[in-house]
Amino acid sequence: MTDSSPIMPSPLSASAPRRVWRAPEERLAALPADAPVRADEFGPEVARAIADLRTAHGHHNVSCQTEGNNDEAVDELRRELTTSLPAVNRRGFMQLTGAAAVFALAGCYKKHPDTIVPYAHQPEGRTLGKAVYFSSTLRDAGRAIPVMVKTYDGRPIKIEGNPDHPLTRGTADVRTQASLLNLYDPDRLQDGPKKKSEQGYANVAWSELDAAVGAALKSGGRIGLITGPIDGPANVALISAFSKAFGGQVLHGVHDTRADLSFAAGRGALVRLVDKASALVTFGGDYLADIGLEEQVAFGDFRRLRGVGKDADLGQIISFEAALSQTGSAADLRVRVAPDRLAHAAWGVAELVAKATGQQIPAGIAASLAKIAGGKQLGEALGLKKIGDQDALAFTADRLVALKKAGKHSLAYAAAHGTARANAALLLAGVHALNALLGNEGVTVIGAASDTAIDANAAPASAVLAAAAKGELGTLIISSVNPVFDVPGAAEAIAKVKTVVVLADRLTETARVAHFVAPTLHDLESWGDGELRPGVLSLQQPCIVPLWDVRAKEESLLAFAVAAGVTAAEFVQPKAEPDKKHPPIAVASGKPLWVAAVNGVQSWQRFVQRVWQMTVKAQAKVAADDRAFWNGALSRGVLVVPAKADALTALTLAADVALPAPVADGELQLVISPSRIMGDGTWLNNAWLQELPDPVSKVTWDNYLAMAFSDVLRLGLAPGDVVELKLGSDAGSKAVSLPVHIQEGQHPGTLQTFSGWGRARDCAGEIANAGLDPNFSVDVKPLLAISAAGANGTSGISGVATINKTGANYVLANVQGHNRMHGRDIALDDVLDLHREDPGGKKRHPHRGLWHEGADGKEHGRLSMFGKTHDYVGHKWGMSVDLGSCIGCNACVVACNAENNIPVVGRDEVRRGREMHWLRIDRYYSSEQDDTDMLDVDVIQQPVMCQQCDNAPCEEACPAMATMHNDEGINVMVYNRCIGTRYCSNNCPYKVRRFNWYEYGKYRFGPQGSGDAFGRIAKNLITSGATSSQSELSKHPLEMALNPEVTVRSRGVMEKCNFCLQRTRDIRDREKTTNRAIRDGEITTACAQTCPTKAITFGDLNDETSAVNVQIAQTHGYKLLDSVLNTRPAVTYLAKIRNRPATEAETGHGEAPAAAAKPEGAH
Amino acid sequence: MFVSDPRPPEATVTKAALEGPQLPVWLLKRFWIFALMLVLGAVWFLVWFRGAFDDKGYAPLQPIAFSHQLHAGEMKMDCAFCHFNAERGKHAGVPPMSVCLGCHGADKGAVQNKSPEIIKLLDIAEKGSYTDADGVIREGGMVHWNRVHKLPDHVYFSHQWHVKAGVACQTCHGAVEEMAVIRQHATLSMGWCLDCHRNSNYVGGVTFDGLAANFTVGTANYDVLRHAKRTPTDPVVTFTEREIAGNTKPAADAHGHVAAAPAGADGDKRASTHSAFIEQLKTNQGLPRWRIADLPATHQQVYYDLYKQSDGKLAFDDFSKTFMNAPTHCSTCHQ
Repeated sequence: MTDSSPIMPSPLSASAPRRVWRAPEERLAALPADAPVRADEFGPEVARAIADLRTAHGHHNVSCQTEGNNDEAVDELRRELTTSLPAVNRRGFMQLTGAAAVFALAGCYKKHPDTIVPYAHQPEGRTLGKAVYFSSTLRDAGRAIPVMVKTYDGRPIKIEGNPDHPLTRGTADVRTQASLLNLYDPDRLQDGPKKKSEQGYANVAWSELDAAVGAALKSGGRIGLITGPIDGPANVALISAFSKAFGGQVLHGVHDTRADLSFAAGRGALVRLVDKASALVTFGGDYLADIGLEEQVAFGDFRRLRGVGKDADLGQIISFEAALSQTGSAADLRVRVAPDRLAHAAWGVAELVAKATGQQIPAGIAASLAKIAGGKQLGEALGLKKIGDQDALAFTADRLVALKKAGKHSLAYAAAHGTARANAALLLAGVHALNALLGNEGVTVIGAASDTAIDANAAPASAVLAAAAKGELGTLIISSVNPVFDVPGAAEAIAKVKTVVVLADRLTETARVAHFVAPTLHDLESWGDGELRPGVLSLQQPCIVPLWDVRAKEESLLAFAVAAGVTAAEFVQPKAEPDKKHPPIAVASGKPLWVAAVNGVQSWQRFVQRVWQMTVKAQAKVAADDRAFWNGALSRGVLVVPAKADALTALTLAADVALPAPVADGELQLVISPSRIMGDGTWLNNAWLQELPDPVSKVTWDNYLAMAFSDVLRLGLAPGDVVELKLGSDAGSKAVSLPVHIQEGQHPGTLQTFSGWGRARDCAGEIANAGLDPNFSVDVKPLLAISAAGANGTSGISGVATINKTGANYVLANVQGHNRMHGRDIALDDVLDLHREDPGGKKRHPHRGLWHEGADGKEHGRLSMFGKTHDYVGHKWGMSVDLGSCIGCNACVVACNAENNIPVVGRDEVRRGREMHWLRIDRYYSSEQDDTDMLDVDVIQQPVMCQQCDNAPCEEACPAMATMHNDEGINVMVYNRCIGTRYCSNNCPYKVRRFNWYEYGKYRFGPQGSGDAFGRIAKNLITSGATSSQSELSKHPLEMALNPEVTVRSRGVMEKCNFCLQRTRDIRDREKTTNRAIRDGEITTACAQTCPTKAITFGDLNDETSAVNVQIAQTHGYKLLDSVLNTRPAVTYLAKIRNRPATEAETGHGEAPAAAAKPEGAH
Repeated sequence: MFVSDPRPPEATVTKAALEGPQLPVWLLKRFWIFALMLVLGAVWFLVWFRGAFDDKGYAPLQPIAFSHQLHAGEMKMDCAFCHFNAERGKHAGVPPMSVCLGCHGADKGAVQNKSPEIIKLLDIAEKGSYTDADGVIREGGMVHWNRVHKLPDHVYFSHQWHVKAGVACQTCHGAVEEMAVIRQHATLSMGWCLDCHRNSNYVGGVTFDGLAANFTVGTANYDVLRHAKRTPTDPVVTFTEREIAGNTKPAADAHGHVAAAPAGADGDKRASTHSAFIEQLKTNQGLPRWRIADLPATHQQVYYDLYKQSDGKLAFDDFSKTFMNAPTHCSTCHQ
């Protein structure tokens, strides 16, 4: 099929040009002449009715060839019925149809008829039922994340980190894990390019698109090109070649939605090395949510407890912030500051450090600080809490100076979001000054080499948009970014361009203002490369044939250039003849794919390959031949080439700059941060992400307005009240409506909400639409428009806000209803000083954490109701979870979802407490202050999965033996025995068992709601059984994401974590195949594998040297609720060690029981 | 005002009406008839119930009437020739089309005949899609076979380990070599699994058509490993070695050799070498799973050519293993 052929209206007809082996009419024609004529007036009706019934029963596409419904039998049936009912009226016809249908269905006595489709040519080395892994690279908001992709039968089913990558070390973060669902998203563009017409968008052929865009490019006028961040040698080469091909006509702008998080402040690209620091001080922003995967991995190293006894040590986190952030929840010391005073706090610390080390800060700043302090200590003037008897700023400065004097380093961090817009530049400058004063520059903050990473000619996208607004651009190509959603006013600017071409995977807000839309591939379908950090390259290869009739965005650029008459060698290749016999077709839609070589365009694959073989090979100084180098690079996916680190651009600050006076207490200040789960909102259509609880508030599916308890009381609000939020007080300013969520730890007077929510209807897809219905998780970008003047960021704003009650109420789907432990030993913590003297608190709390066998009546001694013990001859699986390293990022939860086919239940079901996550992260607050306000809270994040108890209460309760202990210590769940009594769940003290109330796997976003009725009924279905038909797959491609190793559970069945049984099962196969005992670490669970900070360790407890045993042996390990229930869990938690001075309550009473030592739940 | 009595006149109430319909007295007296019917019904129900949930005997018509009787029975092809995946992974798998076409390919000439079923096969491979008997268009140039054996989703079953343990294919799949239309031989129920697994160390407990299935357990496998506390002492005994040692599966031994006539006719110089070669192959005891005699003449010729190229130094075993270990090498010749 060529490009000029019309686009096929339906997937089925795509196969029309190919001959059908024997069409029905051919079969009729082949009948012998004397064959009896079928005197059957009901033939077609009956057939149709049977077909309908089969469809209704989900059997419409399965072959059910038995004696019940082969031709002879059906003929016989018809004859009988015709004779018995010679004259058939309507009623008779209904009876007849019913009878025929019943016979037809009764004929299928196979319970689950199914087809098997073999390979045409089974690739060598491929074994049916064994997974194949590909190394590749994914991008999240432009950042390249190296991954390993697990594929079954040519379809990716799980994304894992690339263990060969030196920075990410086999881990993957939350959005990388979830991006698998984006690949199979049914809302992606499927039908080739589109052209804007009177009636919306019309399908055009690829050749038509290329010709039109080529003509536009040729017609003169400047060419605007907006892309995401460009890194990776091939990507850089492509953009440079494109710019060169048009002789400097190209104005390339980089649209980086993470610009606000970079803390660079005009200092070029920066690299932070937190693992080289001994302390991390953050001022606003949300360090743990802002950073990328490689930095989370480094943070794990920074935060892990090192040494034992007196030598025990770990990195310290001091966090100044207004709203409780993920960083604040991990911090040792959290100091509340109003958003606009963060700059003052940063400069205050800098001033104290400067004083202590004999350095200077700019005079204007020092003067304004002195004015604000007004004779008092600055911290007191800013309203900061005291740490012990010391001012918080002084304490921080002392600590940092002490580290500097000890020859250690620290890292100060801030981000533009989370502070007042006007103060953002000063805040960043203050933090940079602090790093400079402490000698951190060049150690924990280094400059990124500019020659390898980013295209040196790139301007920010705002420059391109500005040129567009002035009408300077003839053509604008926007590649895989969404400025119309991200930047207020972008749509108006783009509208002034004559030809706008958008490369996007769906009809985004930006695509909707384009003249042409060229659908793009998902990263897992496409070639490419990336450079996560200067010199650390990763290669991207497709792991599946494109699902739909779309093409790589890079290939589109190449094709546009060729169509515009560019003849450079990078862009053209000799035309090849199309393969008529085996034309490449899309997997799901079965449509013919666009082939670069047939069109004389350089294929993007060849482009990447040539850049790597010519440029990268030379950089890497590899001696191998081209082919070996390429294959090696592809299989490893990662290559480290030498890159020089640049010095940091000097920080310049005018001497007379002064800090503005702080906003008065009592004003409401709004902070808009990027959503911790959704990021910039590109992936809002991802149901896995939608159902993930926010790491701090634990709210799913919605945006909200976080407020302090005292503010809610003061304004007469209640949780869930919908309020109208305005920035500034003038009546004309735009407003958004949000439901109120009371956030512990929030500084009074601070409002926080999140960007990334509220994509326009049908711009992201069905799942994102589901969030629009109640109209609460709205886009907060309209607020940005007001104060965007002079702003170059895309998110992050703060200012004085007003709120009005609307009267409406909205129940947020929150997965955690209770946030305190009430003195029970659930998530334990300790203070580093005390831990050094008394490791694990063994002297202070001798009976905490572990079951103490004893007699009734004796102190701490209990009689166990469990008598038996288990004998584990071979393996005994166990896990350790380090509460200190856990940052609550949810990567483990998504990894678990993907690995174990865990369904999404939807907003309504979450409200009913029916979420299905096998692994959840509990977040607990404790506070020594006034119990109701909960302002200065200590937070613990605690991942809870099935504890695989030796003495499992659930096993005792099951009447059907559906849950039982296996001989490797796993508490297994036999789904087909389960009769749904839910006794096990009642008896489980950990609440880790999940009951499948509906057949959740059938629904994209819940059976009950989370969307309009039509979406619920017509578009929810994703799993209706195995199918291999393309026309079927094109209707529900999400089926392809299922892991074939794991059962898709049915309705009425209890399910829970089983330590990834299919993976431990895999050990057996490997041990048998290789005839050797498996090494420690070769098998791990999905959660442990992906954890960026390596907080989870999995292994064999029977292997004395295993990593998990090393973890468990630490003194601060304890078993959850074991001390009271004697459940003997296989999971060991390591208590969170807080690196802060112990409070009086903690040090004062050595012999006091835990509840008194930490009055964390005084009621 | 006179109000009529709504009650019916008493005279209309008869004794029969009060007592309701009654069974004839003769039937009531023979209450054992009811008991008998009840018992018969219960027995029927139990029998029905027992069989209602398995698919034993399921034998769907296939889009191509492939005959195992012909291939495995008359031609004596080894199961693993086509179902090579059974030795390597969980699924035995349906052979890829290239395996069918390796023999039946249009340009092969060897086993191609004018059978309408083979013409169908070639048509499907050639034309890319076909319409099955239900009128559904099947795409991809592959035959969409109707699945016969299907285990429930929650069952973990690996062909590999059963084959390696020496379980004959026929133990579970029945006398496939006698089936013109493949059918499900066993119930594939959990009880049926346990019938084997409950038997003492899996040895000698199961019979198939009078043949004792020779399970050879005790090779270095998982159980040994586990109980030896991860220090395996048993040497690795591979499948092939075990068979050489005499534990050949019944299926492989059950049939005699029917050597195809060597190609060297007319007394040319090749003939003597060739027949010596064939002779060597036939007498080679180490030949693991399938024999030259089972192969079409063209393949024998290929082996012979390879044998000649190596100056007669390479044993047939090696050729055989090369082929055995990568049956997809078929496609190197049969593209």
